[in-house]
Amino acid sequence: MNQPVNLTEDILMNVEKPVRYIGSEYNAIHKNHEETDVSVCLAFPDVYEIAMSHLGLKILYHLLNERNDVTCERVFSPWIDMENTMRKENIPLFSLESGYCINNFDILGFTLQYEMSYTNILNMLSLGKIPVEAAERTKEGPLVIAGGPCAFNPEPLASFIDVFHIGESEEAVLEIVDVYKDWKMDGGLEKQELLSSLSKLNGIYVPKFYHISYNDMGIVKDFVIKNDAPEKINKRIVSDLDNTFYPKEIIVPFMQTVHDRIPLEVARGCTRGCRFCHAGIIYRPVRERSKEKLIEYAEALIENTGYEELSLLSLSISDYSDIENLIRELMDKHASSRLSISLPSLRADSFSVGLAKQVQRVKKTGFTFAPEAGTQRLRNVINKCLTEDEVLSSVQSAVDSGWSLLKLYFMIGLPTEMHEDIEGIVNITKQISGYKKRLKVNVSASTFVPKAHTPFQWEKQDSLEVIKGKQEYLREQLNGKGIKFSWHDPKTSMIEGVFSRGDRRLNKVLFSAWQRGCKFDSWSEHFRYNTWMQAFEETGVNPGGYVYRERDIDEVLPWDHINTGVSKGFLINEREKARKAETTMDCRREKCHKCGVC
Amino acid sequence: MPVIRCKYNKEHRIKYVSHLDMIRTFQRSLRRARLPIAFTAGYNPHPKIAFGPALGVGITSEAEYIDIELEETIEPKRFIQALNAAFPRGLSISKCMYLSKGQKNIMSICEGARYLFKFSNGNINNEEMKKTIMSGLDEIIKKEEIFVTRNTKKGHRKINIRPLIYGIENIVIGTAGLEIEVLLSAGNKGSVRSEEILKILNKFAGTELKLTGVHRKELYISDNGKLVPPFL
Repeated sequence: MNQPVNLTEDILMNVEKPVRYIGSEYNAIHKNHEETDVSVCLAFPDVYEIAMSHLGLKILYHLLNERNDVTCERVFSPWIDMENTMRKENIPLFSLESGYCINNFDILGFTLQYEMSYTNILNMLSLGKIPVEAAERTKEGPLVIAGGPCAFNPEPLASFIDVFHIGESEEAVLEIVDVYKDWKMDGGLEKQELLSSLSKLNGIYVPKFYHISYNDMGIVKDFVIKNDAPEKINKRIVSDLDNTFYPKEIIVPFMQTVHDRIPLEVARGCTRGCRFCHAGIIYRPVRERSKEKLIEYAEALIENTGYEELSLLSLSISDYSDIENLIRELMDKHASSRLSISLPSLRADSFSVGLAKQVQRVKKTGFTFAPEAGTQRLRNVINKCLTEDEVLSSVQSAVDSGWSLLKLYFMIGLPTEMHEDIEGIVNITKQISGYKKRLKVNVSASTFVPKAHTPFQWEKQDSLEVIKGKQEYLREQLNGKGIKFSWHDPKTSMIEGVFSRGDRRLNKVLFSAWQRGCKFDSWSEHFRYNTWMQAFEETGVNPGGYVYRERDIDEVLPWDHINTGVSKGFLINEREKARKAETTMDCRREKCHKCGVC
Repeated sequence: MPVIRCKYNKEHRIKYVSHLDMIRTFQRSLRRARLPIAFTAGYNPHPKIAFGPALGVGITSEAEYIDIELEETIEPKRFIQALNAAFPRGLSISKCMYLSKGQKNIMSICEGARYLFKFSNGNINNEEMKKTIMSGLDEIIKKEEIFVTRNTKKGHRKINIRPLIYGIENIVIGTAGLEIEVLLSAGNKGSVRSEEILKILNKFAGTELKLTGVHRKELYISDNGKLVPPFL
């Protein structure tokens, strides 16, 4: 019989925000493990307030718990003070609901949202008394699976994860549980059988069945498939969003989380075709939920949670086909109970007057939009085809509709970028901030990191020196009244770049970095660049080979065996068009460009 | 607009939820309960509620109070039922009562609080220990000034907490350890922290006791110079 770990009052009273570890939230689901057949623990490799902001976790948690034969619980990274106490008092990592050590669960599922969370994954396995290396695990411990956007390049984690799930999980996760249940009920079978059965499911990648080796340049040399595993793993998508599970109740945290409101997922996918965008590729094709279904979910979620704010989520919210009516109906229905509706970033070119009218009724935190590049030329290169007029007129509409804080997002280090493009960022910002007195403009310039499966997957990143130079220039120039400029540490972007286009050679680097104490790498106060460099040196892997080398079109890329549905030919074509600053229109509005996904 | 005053419990794991987080918890529970609550005006409307003095993290209570403004009166029993059904585990309303016109909110009239403190340190249940502790408690009562250092926004300040200690009662020393009830100032008159009670007890009794539990048993308002609970 399992026992909850001994989390004493003494311990909880001596850590920051004990509320992170107590669970017991409204709508948290507590089941008796003895009465169910399969136990799943969903693991988000960051701290509570980040983890509980993630929509995917909410969907899977409530989806799995709907099954009477499944117990689904949560586990997150304990903060540093709690981890130190746990290690000292020999308290293993435990789930929030039952308090059982995570190594008692049948399945442990990690979500891979960002590469800088990988050391936390190893740390959680270690704290949960689960062998960090997949090869050392037996059938006694949990099956360790991982999914999410970064699973589209699984290789940097290949030696630590038993099974990857590629793509959308609502259907696949139930299939995984069924296969697991059959295997478990059979009793006598070995883990190998389980892995084999799972690898026959669509969208499942079992790294153990693939032997991949690389040459000194880091290019794939051998790719040997064992066990009848598939040559390519096709991503899973759910085709009919309206008939795909969406939770009608979600956990209401006690403490303030990063996103603390009802998430209403309006659509999935985006075909604007911005060439840097990973999400735009992996979530194709575009699928929407009907307005009626959304209103139904909104009603249920408001009733079941008591949240005062609801956010409409989508990669490109203003592209939702019925956006004005959706907002209008939601406001008409719920304004009297003081519900506020917020929208994530709006595209500056689809901010129509009609939308502006509806959006006036909506909560105004800051009007966010992302020109991404400072000149028309560079915007065309990345296929974010906003004209300067469109940007400015959207700003005017926003400000006239009542916004007084604008948030602008740019990237630096984009392919073909020249100094005048950086100047362009300054020009646009100054023009925008000059539109009205006392207008506040927050400008952010993140470092471009080329992502796998995008037209820019062959590009190299700007070096640290070059990025620092660009950031310094922007810091000097963006000093006007009401303008706030923020930037990201280029060293973090460099490591992110290595892992986002990495391969199996990084397994030992990751292990070394973690062993040397790297964790919470996405937290600037904890990111240790020098330790990472030590790990690279110790393992003899050159990070520059991943980020500072332009890759050859004919190379076998370390993620080629993962299929997003978008053909390499399409990506190559887009890359060529990028170099000529030629644009590709959204296939929803114009013709099909035969990317391959439909 | 009618204002209903509720007495509620805070127990189990919810004791770790801070006061600020409790405000949000109440706001959302009230919305879930679909009660006719009154909202503030302006850009960020929220339920019009007024809490009693904040309860420290880790402390349980059977006597928390909150004043809630409604748009219309509803039967207290129905109010309690609806809100209790909407609460997370660990919170429950035990009693409620409508305020009459002109009655001030709970925070402004609250003057004292009764706490049950539990201490232990291994073998405490012997005659010598009992004597030591009793004499320590006597010392505390006899003193006019007992200073503690508090780290405030203005830096470290020495505060005399003795006048904030109204009384020590119901002293029980047994196998579980030491239990005392302490009547302390609360609300606008100033408050005393549990760690401070532990510190001064150990200082005056010469012991090394550890705090094993703190529970608020009641709040007090002033009625003709006497301290009485908000609900009689």
